[in-house]
Amino acid sequence: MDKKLIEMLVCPVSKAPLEWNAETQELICRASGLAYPVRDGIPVMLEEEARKLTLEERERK
Amino acid sequence: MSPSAFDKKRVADSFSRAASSYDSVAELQRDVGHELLTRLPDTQPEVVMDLGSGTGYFTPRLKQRYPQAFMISLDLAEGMLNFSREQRPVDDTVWLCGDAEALPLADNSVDLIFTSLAIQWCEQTDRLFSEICRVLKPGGRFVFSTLGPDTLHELRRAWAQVDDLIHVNQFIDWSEMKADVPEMLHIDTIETEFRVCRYARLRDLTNELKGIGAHNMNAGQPSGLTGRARVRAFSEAYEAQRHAEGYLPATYQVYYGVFSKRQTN
Repeated sequence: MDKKLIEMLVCPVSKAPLEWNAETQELICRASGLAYPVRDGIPVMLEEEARKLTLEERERK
Repeated sequence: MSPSAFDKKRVADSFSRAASSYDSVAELQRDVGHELLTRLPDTQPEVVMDLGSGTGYFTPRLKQRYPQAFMISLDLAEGMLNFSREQRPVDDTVWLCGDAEALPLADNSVDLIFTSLAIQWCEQTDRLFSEICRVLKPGGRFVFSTLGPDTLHELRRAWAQVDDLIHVNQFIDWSEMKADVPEMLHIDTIETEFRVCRYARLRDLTNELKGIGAHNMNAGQPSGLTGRARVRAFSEAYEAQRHAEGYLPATYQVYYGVFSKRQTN
């Protein structure tokens, strides 16, 4: 993921910054507890397409 | 093209122009977008967003206009983004799937937002405008085209003779839209024009409208008339509006606007 892009992107729900998880290919928002998929290099920044983080994932540093 | 056909429809707007005619909605969409390109500011934006980029037709044109800019091509439809990225690759561009009413971009991050014939599908104009305002940098511009309430008035009139149901999307009037513009956005310009698509047969028109989702032939419950009788009544009512030159008209009312985000002190 392009670093400049990650810096520009926010969660569309919380507007908080995102973390890139290269392993799961997801953009993570801890504030809203949502993980947005990046499919074929296209971030899908829609609440209805996001995965809800588990409690464990939210608490993990 | 016949100016007399529109005398009745004259809008109380000094910017109204004579209508142009088209053979397809796709052609009209391109022309409207090209018209909108002429309204782009002579600035040097660092970040430009093509909002509701669709097939991606305008993204390379925006990049051509602002070669130094980082481009964001945003659309609600993932399929469209895949298509446009493959068919129209552009340097320094990211393709983003997102909703104009809930933008996934940081505050004060974009210098210029271009959007042509997309925002008429938004559900809440106030949410759209507040998101535009949020992501624009101070001094940033919002350059848009959208559809007004007189769009497809022939279709509305034809259905009105069949039943009382709503068959045509109701696009909002500028006065209503204006009320949703936040204080931080300055309305630089707003213009209205009418463009007309011409069809030989009613079927061509309804097929094309289905393609763009502008109306719903099956909306609501049938009134007294059976399905076939309703379609016949609709066809006759539309045929009655056939132009003297022989074509069936479908009018689009297009708004062009430029807003700028005020500088904060």
